[in-house]
Amino acid sequence: MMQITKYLILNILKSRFMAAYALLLFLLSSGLFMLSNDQDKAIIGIHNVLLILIPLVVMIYSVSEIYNSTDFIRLLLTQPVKRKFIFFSQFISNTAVLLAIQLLPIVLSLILFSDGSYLMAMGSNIFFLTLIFSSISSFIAYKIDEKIKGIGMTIFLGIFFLAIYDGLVLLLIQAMSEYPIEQYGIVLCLFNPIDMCRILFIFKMDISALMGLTGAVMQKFVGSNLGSMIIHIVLCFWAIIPMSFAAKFFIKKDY
Amino acid sequence: MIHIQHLSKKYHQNQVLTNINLHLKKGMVAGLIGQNGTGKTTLIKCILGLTQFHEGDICINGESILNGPNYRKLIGYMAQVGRYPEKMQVAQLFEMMKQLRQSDATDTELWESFELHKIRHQYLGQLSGGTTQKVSAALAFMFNPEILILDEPTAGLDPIASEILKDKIKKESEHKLILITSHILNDLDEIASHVVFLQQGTLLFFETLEQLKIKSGHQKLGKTIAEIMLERSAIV
Repeated sequence: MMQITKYLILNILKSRFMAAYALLLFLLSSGLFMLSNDQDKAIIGIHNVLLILIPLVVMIYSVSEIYNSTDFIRLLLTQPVKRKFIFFSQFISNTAVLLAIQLLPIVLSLILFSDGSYLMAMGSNIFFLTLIFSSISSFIAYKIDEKIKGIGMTIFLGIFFLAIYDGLVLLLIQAMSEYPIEQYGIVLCLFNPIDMCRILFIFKMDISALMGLTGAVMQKFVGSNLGSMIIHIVLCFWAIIPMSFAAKFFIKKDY
Repeated sequence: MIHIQHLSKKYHQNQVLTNINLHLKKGMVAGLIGQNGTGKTTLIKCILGLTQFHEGDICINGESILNGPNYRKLIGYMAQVGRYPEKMQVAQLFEMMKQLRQSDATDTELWESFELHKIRHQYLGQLSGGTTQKVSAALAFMFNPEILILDEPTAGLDPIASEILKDKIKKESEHKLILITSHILNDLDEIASHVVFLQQGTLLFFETLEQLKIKSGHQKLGKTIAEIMLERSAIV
């Protein structure tokens, strides 16, 4: 398995897209630090950009990579290797490269321009977002045979998690504004990995105090060890469940 | 070597292969012939384990292929269209395959005849279609497998490379089983010893080339097959 992973990683690392994406992330994060006098504001800005960029880039890149390498995967499947090893080689190579390409420039700019206090929180969110959206894209790409349909579904899911889901939650909260539903807001967040990463990060910063009653309830939940643990466990499930289904589809797939 | 018993395969609701029974032995060069969409590629994919079948079994040297992927050590496969990672070098591809098969290259004849050492540091994404086919052919023969499955091997090759490959197939045929699909019947006429004819997912016949020519009264495989296809379409 490691042999395939090594050569696939080398192949992806040589692509111009990866170099351009890493450079863009570095310029973007460094630029935000340079433009803002307040370190916290710049970090929130970087985090907000990452919450949009990572899901979309990871999903579209991973899905395209899986579809484009179908012929090569077919060749690998004719070799004396178990299918699950080929699945994990492809999954690990795609995810590891994306993770490194996103982590390195952001971590570098945080080290260069900040006191490093949010390094772990930012790194953890980049890790979870990359892993989760790589799992979801594998699930889609191995389930749907047609490339156009697969990419379309990926874009829709990306937009759903980024905007549509939050819109629906806001509508619900508005409709139920006369009832004490703050604690249910937390439950609704568990169904969207982007929201979970957002609240994990926000409640590490002082700005959470400006978020009213909902913010106070969430602060109490996320601030507690149990709450933080629950969110991290749910994030792990968001990565493991789609990946398990993706592996199952890959093993049964007709190539 | 390859024993296919009562093999059937459906894609969704479409029956692609129906009750195929075939016994292919060492020393045969079997040309797999049939019109487009008759299940040739699906049959090859079933043997290679790329596609799962619903009924029947395929045994290689007496062991079912459902028992695991180890039987693929015995097979060299050349795809109709070889598409490789764009930024992988030719030498890296061969190195990776050696590591996957845990075997050294034992047959480098095609590697040398096609002069692939001259392009060993080129990226696979920069190669022309014909050169990519040369890489695929060299890779299929590289580990000296007992069974070779070649899907349209000469398509896209220049005349010189095509002749080199056909000579290699003839040379290897004495001690190997070679299964070839091709629409270039003149090529098959030169190299095949047997013909497997599929029609609408069923095995119409499996005969030696000589028997077939005697029956039809033609000396050319192309004419023989064209006549059979016309006859069958008239019946349908």
